[in-house]
Amino acid sequence: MTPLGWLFLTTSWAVLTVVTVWCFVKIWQAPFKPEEGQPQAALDSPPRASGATE
Amino acid sequence: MAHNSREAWKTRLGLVLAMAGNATGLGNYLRFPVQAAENGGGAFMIPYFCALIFLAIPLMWCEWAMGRLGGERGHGTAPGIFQLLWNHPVAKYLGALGILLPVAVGCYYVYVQSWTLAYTYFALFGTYVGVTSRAGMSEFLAGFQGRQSSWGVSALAYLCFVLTMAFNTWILSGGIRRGIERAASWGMPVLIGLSVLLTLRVLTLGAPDPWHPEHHVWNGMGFLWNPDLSRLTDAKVWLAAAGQIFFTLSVGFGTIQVYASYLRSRDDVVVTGLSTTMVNEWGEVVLGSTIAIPIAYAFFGPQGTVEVAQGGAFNLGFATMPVVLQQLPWHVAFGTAWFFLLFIAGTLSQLALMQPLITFLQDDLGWSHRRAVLVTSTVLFLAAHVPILGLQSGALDELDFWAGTFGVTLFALVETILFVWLFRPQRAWEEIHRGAQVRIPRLFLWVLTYVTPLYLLGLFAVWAIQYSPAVLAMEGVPPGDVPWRWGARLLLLVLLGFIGFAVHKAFRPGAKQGGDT
Repeated sequence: MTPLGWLFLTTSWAVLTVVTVWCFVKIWQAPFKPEEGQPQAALDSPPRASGATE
Repeated sequence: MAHNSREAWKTRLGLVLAMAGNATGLGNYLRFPVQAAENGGGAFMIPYFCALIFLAIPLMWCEWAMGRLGGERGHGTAPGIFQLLWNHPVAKYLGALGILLPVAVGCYYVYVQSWTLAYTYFALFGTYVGVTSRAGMSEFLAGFQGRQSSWGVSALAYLCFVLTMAFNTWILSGGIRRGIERAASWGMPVLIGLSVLLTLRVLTLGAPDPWHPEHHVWNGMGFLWNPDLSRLTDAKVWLAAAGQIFFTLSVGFGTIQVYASYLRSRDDVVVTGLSTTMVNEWGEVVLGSTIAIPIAYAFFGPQGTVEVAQGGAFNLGFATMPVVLQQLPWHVAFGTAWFFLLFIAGTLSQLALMQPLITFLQDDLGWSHRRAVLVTSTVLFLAAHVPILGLQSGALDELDFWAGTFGVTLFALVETILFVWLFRPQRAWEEIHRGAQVRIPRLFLWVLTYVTPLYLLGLFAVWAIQYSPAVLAMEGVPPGDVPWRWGARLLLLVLLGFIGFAVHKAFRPGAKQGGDT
């Protein structure tokens, strides 16, 4: 591989790795929380349509 | 008004994995390395990253924000979302494209997914062991597909298709949390783990042929990454990069909005959306590029690798890879790992393609989840017979062009105009930032308003003007293939008719819907 090939490879991999790790740190810092007045149990209920006819 | 009875993602990580699973498909491992090798190697990454920053990431933020906005008001799919963005009778019918496209793509993608299931079995039980040439593996693939049989499909290929449909239906019957999120939470770590395993194996391969020490695997990496900067003046390279980034992130399919509609009103879309993009990109550029082309180089040399790249993605995945993996010690394990990771990637993408119709039937027609899943699976099962039985005659290619290339570009253009221009840029900007964990640089408001729509318009114009007339006129198509090609077009029209009628029924005055409009 030529030096320029190495440059393109390492730059691409490094940029993608750094941004991906930054994103996961942010996600780890702030997990989703249920909205006010919406208990976790309600979110765990089996799927159904909001206006289900059956 | 929030619709609390709609499901919501259980964890932020689960959503990221599900959305990344939607984007990560066979293209990451098969299409990207072929595109890079054919379009300037490392130099391809310049237009690729330009398209990522100016086209894909802004479009992805738009789709996430649109989905969350619609979900809050009980509309998780494009017809209802477009109606919210633009209060015009035509808006909901434009949104019908956001249901048609995933169904049309899903009806042939499920067949390809079923091949990966079959090949996982073949690799595990050594069915193709002893077939050591690419021509031999191409014949093996054609025999498995039943291309020469009177029905155009073999019993085994059909059985695998039925099993795959049943498997997808079973996962979707669990809903967002217990179905899709759980599948992604298991599937994505396994997918990444298998990819890392294969990547490490390839990078430590050295030069497997002692008579050709120059066929070292790192020279194979050079084949992929050494930049040919002269190619940057070629417009086709920029178009190929934009096309690759567009398809790899699954923007313009109508699927991202649907997953995002299960967010809660203050959930962040900026970092979460960027995370899914980065997982997909990391999987494509770091892992996807390192497996297939470098290993092909190590066994076939530069000339053979050029032929492999020119043979296309399916040839690389199903004919070349089984041959080269057989040359390795532990070939059963590595072959199984390769096809199983493709099966996981295909499954998570296929689930996302089926979910829009399910969500539409639930939200806008008020159907139960069970009924919506069964009807969606039945529609896909029946529609899939056109690309399956017409595979030999190019029915799959016809659907792929009109739905998977032309349609998604058109849909992306329409949704961008609606969200940014008709909904107004400042409102779109504020909508994206509602609950945002970080602020996007203000420069992106300008990018979103002008650059992304113009980028899309350029892409659409090239495909519409340069390629569509030839495809429409069926130039170069053998006369015997013409009926199946028309059959594929008829299928698209029939699906569009049914979906358009359902949209009309769902949004007629006094219709019972899942949400308010």
